[in-house]
Amino acid sequence: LIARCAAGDRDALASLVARYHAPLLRYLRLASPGEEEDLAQETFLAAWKGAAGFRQEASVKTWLYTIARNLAFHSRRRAEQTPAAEMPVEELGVAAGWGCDSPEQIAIRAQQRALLEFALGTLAPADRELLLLRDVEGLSGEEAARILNLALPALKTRLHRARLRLMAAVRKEER
Amino acid sequence: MQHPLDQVIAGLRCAEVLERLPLYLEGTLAPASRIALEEHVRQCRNCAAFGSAYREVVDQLHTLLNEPSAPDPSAEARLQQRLAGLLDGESLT
Repeated sequence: LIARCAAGDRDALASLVARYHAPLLRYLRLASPGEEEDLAQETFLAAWKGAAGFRQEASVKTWLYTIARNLAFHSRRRAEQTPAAEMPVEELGVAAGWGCDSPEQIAIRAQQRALLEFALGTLAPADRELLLLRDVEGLSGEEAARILNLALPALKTRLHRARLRLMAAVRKEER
Repeated sequence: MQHPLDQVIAGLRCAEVLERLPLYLEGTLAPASRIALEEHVRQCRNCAAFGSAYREVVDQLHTLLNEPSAPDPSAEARLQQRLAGLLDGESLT
């Protein structure tokens, strides 16, 4: 498909859209709420224009997510990108509910889709995109690391911290 | 004062269990570390309860938010139309 796009075949672009539009829109809706349709359009347009440069080191899916992620990342305000000072993991664990009376209540609350989406929306964009790619979309650690341009061990550490912050956000809504 | 996660049970601090939890859940912990972690969790109510809640929340992210691709035909049609319009515009210039 990508080779056909590179050759200027419009039908190939339409097929690419038909195949990847739904998952990309879902990802973009959570990554950049309110901008998902524009960003999806920009993603496919960038894929069309960059098709000749596509190297088969990554899958088409990983390549499209990389484009979408970069567009979503650049559309956000710089102020949002400043990460909060890192808390020790022990403190994150306590905030997430380690040692509280009933951690199972956090799991029960997380079964509510609206609450989970809301909690995800309260996180810093860097945390949110990790959770979206790895846990929501179910990409492998290697794929997510490639998209985010991170080494795999760094991705794992950040993902763990993002999950703890998500649990803390769910717990906060509980109180 | 000692941090609650500094408690040592079965030779492992709760903080170490928390740190290794994701590797345990994805099944990539070395066998000796996995056995030590499981022994700790058997004896530590806090780590057991928190570990299950953590696993549950991670599972819910995929189950609840990754809806089976229910494509929105109108959104896709809009996009196909917009892309065609943009590409037509470019080929005229």
